[in-house]
Amino acid sequence: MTDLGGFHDHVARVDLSSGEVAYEGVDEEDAKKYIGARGLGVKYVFDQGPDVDPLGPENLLAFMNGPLTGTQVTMSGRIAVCTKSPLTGTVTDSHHGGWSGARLKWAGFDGLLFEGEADEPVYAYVEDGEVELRDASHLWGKGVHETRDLIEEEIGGEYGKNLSLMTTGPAGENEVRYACIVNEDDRSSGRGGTGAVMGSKNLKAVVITSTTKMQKPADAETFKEGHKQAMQLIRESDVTGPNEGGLSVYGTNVLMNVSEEMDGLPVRNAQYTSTRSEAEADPSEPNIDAERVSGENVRENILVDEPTCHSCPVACKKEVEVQTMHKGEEMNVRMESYEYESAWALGPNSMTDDRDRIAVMIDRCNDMAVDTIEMGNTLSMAMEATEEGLIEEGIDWGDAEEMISMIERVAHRDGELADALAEGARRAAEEFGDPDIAMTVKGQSIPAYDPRAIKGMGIGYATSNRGACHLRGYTPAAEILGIPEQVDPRAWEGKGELCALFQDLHAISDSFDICKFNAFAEGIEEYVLQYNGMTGLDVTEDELMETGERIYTLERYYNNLAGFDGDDDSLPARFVEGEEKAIPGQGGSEGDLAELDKMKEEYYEVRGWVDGVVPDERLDELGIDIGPGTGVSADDGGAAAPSDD
Amino acid sequence: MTDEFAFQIESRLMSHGVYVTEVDAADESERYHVTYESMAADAGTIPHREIGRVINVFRDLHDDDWAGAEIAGTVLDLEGRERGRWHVEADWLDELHNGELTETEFSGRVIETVEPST
Repeated sequence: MTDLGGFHDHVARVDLSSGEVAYEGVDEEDAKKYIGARGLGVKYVFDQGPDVDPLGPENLLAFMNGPLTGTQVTMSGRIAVCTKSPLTGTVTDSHHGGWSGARLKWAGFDGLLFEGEADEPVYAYVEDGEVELRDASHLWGKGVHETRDLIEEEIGGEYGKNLSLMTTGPAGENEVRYACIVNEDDRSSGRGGTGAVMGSKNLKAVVITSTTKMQKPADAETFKEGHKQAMQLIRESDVTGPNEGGLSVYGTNVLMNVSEEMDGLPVRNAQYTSTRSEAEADPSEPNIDAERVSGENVRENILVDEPTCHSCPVACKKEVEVQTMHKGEEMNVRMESYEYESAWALGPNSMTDDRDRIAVMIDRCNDMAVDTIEMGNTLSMAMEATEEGLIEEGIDWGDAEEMISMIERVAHRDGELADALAEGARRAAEEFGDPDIAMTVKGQSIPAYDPRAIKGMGIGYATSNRGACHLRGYTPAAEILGIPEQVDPRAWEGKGELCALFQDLHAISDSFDICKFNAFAEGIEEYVLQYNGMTGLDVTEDELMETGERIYTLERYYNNLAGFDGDDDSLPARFVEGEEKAIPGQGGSEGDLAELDKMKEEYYEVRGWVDGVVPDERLDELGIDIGPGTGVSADDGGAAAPSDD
Repeated sequence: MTDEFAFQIESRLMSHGVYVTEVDAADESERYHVTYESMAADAGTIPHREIGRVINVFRDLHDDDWAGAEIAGTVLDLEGRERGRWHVEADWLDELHNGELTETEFSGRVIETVEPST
């Protein structure tokens, strides 16, 4: 039980097998140690045990908000979905913005925990502190967009005003390992296959009704002081400044041209580091230009609106409308998630710069509920496999029309190739006979930053607890944007420490749960003031940073118990050993490779880990007093480290 | 006006960098007076978009059939210096809700009332 500000002390535990709903409070010590959202959600998943089958009824699916979710804090509309990932086998947490996190808080909940498996499809209806399971057989098989419309008609509310929806689509129902959960139409908890877990439980959706009901801060003066400081920094920032900063004007896709210019954009399944260098290497091929899918190009040609999430002055969402042809038929799409990562994965990395068809692909991914990053990587891997003659029924580089079709086929596991690709890039590449063509870490595909040119991303991908990910520790903030200070992206020295710092900082914001984009402007001082102000706690900056480290370490500890160690902190061979045909065309990064071993050594030293494993002493120092321990001691050099089996 | 109503006004506007220092209602809610600090307010500049946000919060917090009330706004900078005033007539809100005024016409009327402090 807790009476900390920012909490309702109210969590629903839903047994889908029996249909029973129980309610419980939040353990105050856990709330202090792990904050909420990601941190608390991972703790719930940890308590369920690391050996569960991710797609079995015993896996826990936790929808968690944090003490700052749905408050006046800027960009505080986020929610964390925590579970054991069917894609990686690690613990994972995947967040989305919009309004569902805030609305869950306003409906009286700190979190919803789903266990078991329903006999028939159901959805969870949430209102005024109560959860009710309702029949979803009429929604099963429907895409996200149709589900959205049917729920609105059935419930009678209005999205954005008093109604929110988190749903999966056919991909989740068919247990595609990278199926996601979509909020309304476009915002996704994209990574790690949370939608597949939802589908495995016969849970179609979570529907929440509530009007805006913000909670009062425990210490209003401190809270307001922190809020003012933060808001001033956000307004003055070149990145977040409303209507002026790059993120506000162009959205996340402002990075497309930037990455291309610095040879940090993986192209052609990461064989090259820019579309320019790819064209230089092989001018005889049809070549592409990243600029055609950039935020600048999108803004000039297809932008129709700039919607926001709860309490966001930045408005990074860029709503676009396109009319294009698909298989001889006109296709009109209006959507609001033309994000950098999605545009890259389904664009330059798959050798297409067909801006409008990429919008269609992203929309198809949203409607089917699949992770755009994993889908793009999986398709580009299949294109390379086709070129290498590894598969007979294949897909050609840059075939945008076929990519659109393939997204739906994968979501339905329609045919042998689609069924293989539904397992994700790594498993499919293994089946095709060449695992090296999968650009994955721990089974999850890379996002849009090339670790040969942006070295911090190399150690970030490798040590991410949920598989390759840019959002665990966003070192490009320093390496590209100069926040808090500019560092050389191509230098490896210091990147282990930088990566750990960002990982801890983001573990905090993910547990509040507020958008990471706050960190482009504000820092730990503003975090502390707003957190203390809302909860009534009195933590120092150092104590809050240690909490971030505790959360990150708890995740690593879970993974260690699930069998992961330093060997899994790896990168695809292409990034550390070179790609024979790519080197001549790598432009400014010619010859650059990710110095992973050196960065790992530095990183483990900062963390106090032994070959990727948390020693028991470190668990004690951080106050992680749950579970059996890893059996590894820092004093004996890790002699008892788990084997690699 | 309840404390909860005042809190909801204050909290919803804080999300947009508008810090309410005082909000009160006289004559059984027929006239509201709201005083707020604005980050964007400067000498001679009263941000129109923020005025719209303030009015919309009052509209959101009332039922759809709200007949309207006079709203008077006093705008301060972060140092607490008065930077200007504006107001809304109850009739305008009523006409807006009845469809007799468009949003653009309504905004035009409100903007005409803005008086920057000298």
